[in-house]
Amino acid sequence: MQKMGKSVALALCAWSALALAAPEDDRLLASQCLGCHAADRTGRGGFDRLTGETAAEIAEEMIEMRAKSGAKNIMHLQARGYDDDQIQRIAQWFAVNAGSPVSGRSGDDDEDESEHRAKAKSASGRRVSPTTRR
Amino acid sequence: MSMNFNRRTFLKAASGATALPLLGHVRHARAATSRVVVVGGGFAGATAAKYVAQWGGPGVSVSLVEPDATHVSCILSNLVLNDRVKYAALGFNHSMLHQRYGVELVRDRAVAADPVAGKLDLASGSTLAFDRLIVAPGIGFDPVPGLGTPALQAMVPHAWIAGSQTLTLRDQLMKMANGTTVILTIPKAPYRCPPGPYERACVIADYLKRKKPRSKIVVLDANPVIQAEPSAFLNAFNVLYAGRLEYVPNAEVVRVSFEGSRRVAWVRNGASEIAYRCDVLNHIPRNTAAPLVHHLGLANVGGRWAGVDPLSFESAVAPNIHVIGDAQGTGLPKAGHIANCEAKVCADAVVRMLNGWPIDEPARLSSLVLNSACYSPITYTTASWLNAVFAYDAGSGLMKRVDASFGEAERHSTKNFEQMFKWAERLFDDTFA
Ligand SMILES: Cc1cc2nc3c(=O)[nH]c(=O)nc-3n(C[C@H](O)[C@H](O)[C@H](O)COP(=O)(O)OP(=O)(O)OC[C@H]3O[C@@H](n4cnc5c(N)ncnc54)[C@H](O)[C@@H]3O)c2cc1C
Repeated sequence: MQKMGKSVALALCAWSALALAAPEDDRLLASQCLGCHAADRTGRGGFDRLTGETAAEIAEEMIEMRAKSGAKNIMHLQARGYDDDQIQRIAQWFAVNAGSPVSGRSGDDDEDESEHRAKAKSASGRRVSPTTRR
Repeated sequence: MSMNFNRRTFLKAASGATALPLLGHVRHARAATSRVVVVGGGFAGATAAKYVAQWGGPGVSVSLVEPDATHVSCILSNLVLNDRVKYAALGFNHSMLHQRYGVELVRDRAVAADPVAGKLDLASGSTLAFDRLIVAPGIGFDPVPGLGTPALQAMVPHAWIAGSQTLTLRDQLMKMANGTTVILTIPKAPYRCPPGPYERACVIADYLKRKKPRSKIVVLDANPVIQAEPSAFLNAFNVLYAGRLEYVPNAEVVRVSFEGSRRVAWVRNGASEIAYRCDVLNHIPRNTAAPLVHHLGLANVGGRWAGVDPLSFESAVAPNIHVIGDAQGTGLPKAGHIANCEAKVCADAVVRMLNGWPIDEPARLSSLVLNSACYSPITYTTASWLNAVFAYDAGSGLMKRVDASFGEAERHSTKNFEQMFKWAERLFDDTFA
């Protein structure tokens, strides 16, 4: 599975040379990911941070998620909204433009609370969390 | 607050502000040559102001007109009703848009606009000049017979624009006696947030189950079927809340009256009406674009919503005016996440149009992908979700749902409940910071 994903990603890298989109096009396409993913030092909340990953890694993850059936993870469904070319353009955009990760690694769904809070401190609002169970 | 005051504050703060590295596009307004004015600082308007300022570069100045110092997010506001989220946590000001991106904040209400002269009139009497105007004022409501005065309206809150009515409804639920009845009404589609009323029904039913176990909730739906996440909500209504929640489809409330402390919702039944009595009535009147959209003559879709070109969200009837968010009538769902996406498409189009660049090149068309995600609490600790991606379809010239991306969570879970906060926190940040 891992091996297959890599070869798909490599193939996509080759295609990207053919992409005709201007930077503004890629920027618009990629900006929509920021509703769920932070891609810089100050952004708060969200799912996997889109920093510190190569284009091949981002594209490979999206293609793997797109191939999953069912509705276990919301991102599996989101990924199905994109074709190969769009995935590649998004991946390239974040690989080039995203800031370096705060913690030295890309965030993930299981990132621990303290790291999360540290990131949250730099931004405007307060952290939104549920009240304790009663 | 007057415009001049804001101008001065803006200049003072802009000179002392420090740039933060946000995707390398941070800028501050200076030597402006084009003026973009955004009306409404909710999910659509705040995002549009932020992204026009980032993408427009130093040649574009952006002003955001919003009467409220704090925008209260509708998203997560159902959880204020059962005290699961603090009301104060849902209030957002726009100071970050000012500090980070140089957006001029104008605390005022837009009342009229001249698209040809490029002038926006404000309630204070001042005017703002614009090259392009982005209108994002959200929704309004049809008048409800029987609720003609503000005092009566406050007794029967919709709480469908988050704010003081959210707290009124919460307080009514907290004060109601065990054994009494709540009615929630759902307006005819399209309305703001398709799963929202069903989610609210679940939150209230869960609250009653835990705190007022002899009480029940009746859901009067003007629509023939559940409008979103049918499997999650049917399961909740029929299993989790069986005996406690009664769901009535095709039940359109035509007027409201009072009998002492009790409220009566009158439902159309052929030529007559059926009375539903309760102690707390949460009537959500039929939705339409916010009053401003009607005043500006932009509501050309069914007399309710603003028709726009999906490539730019420019009004179908007025040049140089764009309408985004719940007020627009493309058929995209009326939801905050996709309002944030619409704002980016609009911001990109506005910047291109100001520069005289085309907006319909193939590479741009293939970049018009909009995302929608809604997390719906089902119980005090679990949530479900709804997902859809929309993309521009050249054949129809419309934003079309990508069917493979459309679906709801397999089951409600505590994991989804936790993810709901991650998701919302990120959307809030992308919109207001
Ligand atoms: C209970 C509930 C739950 C929801 N949950 C979700 C969810 O999980 N996911 C989701 O995506 N969406 C959700 N929504 C929907 C979402 O809140 C709306 O779709 C979103 O707020 C629409 O954004 P908007 O910018 O069009 O309007 P709003 O966010 O309402 O903002 C409009 C702004 O314009 C201002 N304004 C109005 N008139 C004027 C004027 N004349 N001059 C200047 N300013 C003006 C108002 O003060 C306001 O600040 C929910 C809604 C509700 C009610």
